[in-house]
Amino acid sequence: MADLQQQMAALLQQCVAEGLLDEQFHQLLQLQDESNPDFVSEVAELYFDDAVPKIQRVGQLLSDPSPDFSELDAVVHQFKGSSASLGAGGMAKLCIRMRELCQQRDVPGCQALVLQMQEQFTRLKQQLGAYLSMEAQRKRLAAGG
Amino acid sequence: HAPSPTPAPPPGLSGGGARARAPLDVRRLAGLSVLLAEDNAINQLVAKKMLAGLGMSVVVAGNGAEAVKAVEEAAARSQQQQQQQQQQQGEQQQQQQQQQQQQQQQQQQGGFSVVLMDLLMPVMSGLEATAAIRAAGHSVPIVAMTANAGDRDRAECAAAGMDGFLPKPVLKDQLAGAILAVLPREGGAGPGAAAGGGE
Repeated sequence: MADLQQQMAALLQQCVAEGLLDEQFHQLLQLQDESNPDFVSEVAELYFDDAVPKIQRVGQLLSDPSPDFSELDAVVHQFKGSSASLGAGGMAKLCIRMRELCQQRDVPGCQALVLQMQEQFTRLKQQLGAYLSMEAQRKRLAAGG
Repeated sequence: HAPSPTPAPPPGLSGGGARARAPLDVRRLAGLSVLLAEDNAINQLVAKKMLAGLGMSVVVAGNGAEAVKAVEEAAARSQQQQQQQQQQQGEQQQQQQQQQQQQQQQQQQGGFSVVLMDLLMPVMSGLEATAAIRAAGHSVPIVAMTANAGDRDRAECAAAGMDGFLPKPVLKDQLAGAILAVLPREGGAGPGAAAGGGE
């Protein structure tokens, strides 16, 4: 159990060091309690389900010869809010940058950035997924004695 | 003719600052009702959890129009309860009068103790919803929630009738501080002074 907790702590530190997660994620961990022991995984799963269509929509809008920057800004704004609430600080920063590029009507810049968003999401899901798996294992061990 | 300068936001909208403050008395929040006007499902989930942790009961509105409706319906229910209680007679008349005064205040406030209002929402924005709530005569404290925390944004919120300002992403202590800052002082006086955000 102690080893598992150490691994979890190390993984979190790595996520913070990589810029994937920020202090807000620690806030979510502190909110989790006995009344809602799966709170963090619920938020994370909701975020993962929400992120995929949003990133796809951003890509679709940017592939249009005349992108609808108004809709693009709205989608990215929503995604920024979700990312910030989860504590996905790196993704939130990419969204902020995307909105700046939208205002500048910089299509190549936006297209390059959406690739970064896809890579960031893949990495975040991988690392956070690993953390949540360890958390589930920790709970099973704790329940078993 | 020189353009009018952007008005400075009132003290209640100065948001979270770095000044030292007395510890937050979050016990005051237990049992209070809050309307959370927020369209983002993840933001709703996180905010609801924070508010529940503070002992508050939460009603969620997914856009500004739902928020206006919720305030009006809560005010109507509060008025109905007040009328029912006025019909009761008994030896504890003095206590009833005190309860009626509290309910009158609650009625004016729209039944909720506080409204947390996201600014960018579909159908009706937070600013529009706030203006509509104020136009209907409801004085319920309203705290803006937004990632845009500039002076101009705060001034717009103040002009619309908002009482407080809470930057996003919301942190639990800041949430508690922002709500406490806009609640009436104990004893029924107007909204508490000082900045809207907590530490």
